[in-house]
Amino acid sequence: METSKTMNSKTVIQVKNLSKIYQLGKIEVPALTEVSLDIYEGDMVCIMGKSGSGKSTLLHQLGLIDTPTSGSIHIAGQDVSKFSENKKNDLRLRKLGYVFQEYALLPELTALENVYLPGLMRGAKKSEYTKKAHELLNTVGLGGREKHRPNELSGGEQQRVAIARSLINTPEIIYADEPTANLDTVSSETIMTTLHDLNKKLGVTILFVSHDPDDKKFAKRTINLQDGKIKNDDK
Amino acid sequence: MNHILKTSFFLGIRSALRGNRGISIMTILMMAIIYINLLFLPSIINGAIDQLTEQIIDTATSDLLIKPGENTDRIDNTEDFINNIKNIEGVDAVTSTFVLANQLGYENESKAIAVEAIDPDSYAEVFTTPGNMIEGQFLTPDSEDIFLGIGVAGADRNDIQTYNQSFQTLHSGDTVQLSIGDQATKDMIVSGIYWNQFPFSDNKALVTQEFAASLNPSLTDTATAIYVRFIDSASEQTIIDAIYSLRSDIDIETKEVLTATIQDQVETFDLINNILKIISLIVAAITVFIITYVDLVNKRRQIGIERAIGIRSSAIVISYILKALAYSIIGVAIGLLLYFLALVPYFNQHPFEFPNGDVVPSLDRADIRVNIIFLLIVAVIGAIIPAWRSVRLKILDAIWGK
Repeated sequence: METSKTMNSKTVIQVKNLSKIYQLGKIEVPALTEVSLDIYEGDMVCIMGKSGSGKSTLLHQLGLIDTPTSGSIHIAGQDVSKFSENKKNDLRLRKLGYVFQEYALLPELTALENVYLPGLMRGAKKSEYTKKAHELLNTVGLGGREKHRPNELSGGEQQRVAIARSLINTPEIIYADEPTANLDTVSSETIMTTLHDLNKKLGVTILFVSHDPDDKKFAKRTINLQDGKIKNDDK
Repeated sequence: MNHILKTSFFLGIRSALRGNRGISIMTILMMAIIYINLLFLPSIINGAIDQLTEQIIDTATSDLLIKPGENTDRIDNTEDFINNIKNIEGVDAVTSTFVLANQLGYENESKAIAVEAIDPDSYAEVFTTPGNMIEGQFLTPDSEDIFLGIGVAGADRNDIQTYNQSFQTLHSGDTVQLSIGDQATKDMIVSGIYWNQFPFSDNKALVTQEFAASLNPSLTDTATAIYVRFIDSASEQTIIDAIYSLRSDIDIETKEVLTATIQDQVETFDLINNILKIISLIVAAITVFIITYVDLVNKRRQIGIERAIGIRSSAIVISYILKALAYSIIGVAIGLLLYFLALVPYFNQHPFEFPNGDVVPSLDRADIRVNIIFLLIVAVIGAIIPAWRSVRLKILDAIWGK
């Protein structure tokens, strides 16, 4: 296993005392309790834990698609807890990439369009984002499938399109929430290898959630969660 | 802002073209039907108002009515006056009338009927009455006959509204008794019967001025009313000023004043028109709202994903507005084509039969434009509300379809 970066590396994510409590009627269900951690530039972190341990919840908070109950998150030195929705949106668009468990492609768009949509939103030139979308689809092994709609692609192919999409705006961090959960073994291996290669070749910081112990081999660091707390952090 | 609009346009156009085609087609057809509804009923009401106004001008009032001034009951030296009016630029035709008698008898019945003396030639230039004959013939200048409206004669047309107030069985060729004062009467043959389909002008009796003057020489070269028609491009005020410059002992009433008698009907029609328009627009707003709402419910997860990957909420909302606008614009285009290429030609051939005559659809361009603007506004409102509500959901709730 490769080792994680040392404390000398630049911290890209700093989490302090992060808690998330879901309100189910009158009952409060703590999903994360006082979680603190630092993620360094170029890290490839696997977040593991049993179902209900809070791993996806942690990723949602870090990916700014959910709001923590308390605590702070600093991304690239900025305290994002105080960001407005539009500012969070811009950060998600420009610095973060998100790969969902269930592919999460837009069915009315082709593979190419799905990939370049965030580029269009960022205001890039059409020639620039289409060229890059083509390159990214080639990188994830889907050259020639640009005009296919999601329903014409297999689960593994859709997930690779989602990975390509997460890279279109050259993000600093990619979050992948159980990216292989619904895939067969071969496709899972391909997806994890793709993420691993991106981390290795492009230096993108990647945090992925997995419940498969075999996926640890792709990570430089593994964080185990239990009952919403960090059980151990294998740096 | 530019890239938000570009993204909105991109998402809106892809969704419209690649989404559920059945829903897109149904929405467009609904908008087309709503637009036709916005145009059609008001156009019939406009047609009825136009027809009523045209009828009152063509058969009863003309464009301008010149009446005696305050201290007199007749206009004298009418021949010179009329010739001078005819020379005014923009004047198309002029005729004069005077009331000869107010009583007419047939068999053993006598009725109060306005008997007007006219010059048949100029009368036919100003009014369409001579062309609306249903029996006999119109008067000639030297005729000593009488020409009656259907409201006077009846002519056995018991289907006509004014039948019960008429002589009912009087026909062309029958003889009537004209009361000419001091218990004296004059037998007159009915030359013809006209039907203007307008009760106000269908209850007159007309005789020639030459004949009237032979009965009462003091009526020569006098009038109780002078009617003026002018060409469409003429300036009403210029003509009025020119007439007043010829003589000042007269009063002039414009067609606006003359048609005031039908203002109540016009206002009622306008009220109905506006109510129908509001209902159509509410239906349009609800249609767009429901279609957008259902679309958004089905795409809640998709919207959550769009927001999660950094698409601004405003871009998503605008994409739905653009889609609603696109559906409305295509619907309006189809509606206009159907209206002008199918409905208008059909109803011009098969007009609606109103009590006052046949009515065909009539619309002006301003109505068309205003209706388009209103429809687009309600489409935007119908789309913006559900779209805005959707993007206010938490991203995770949207993705999980909560």
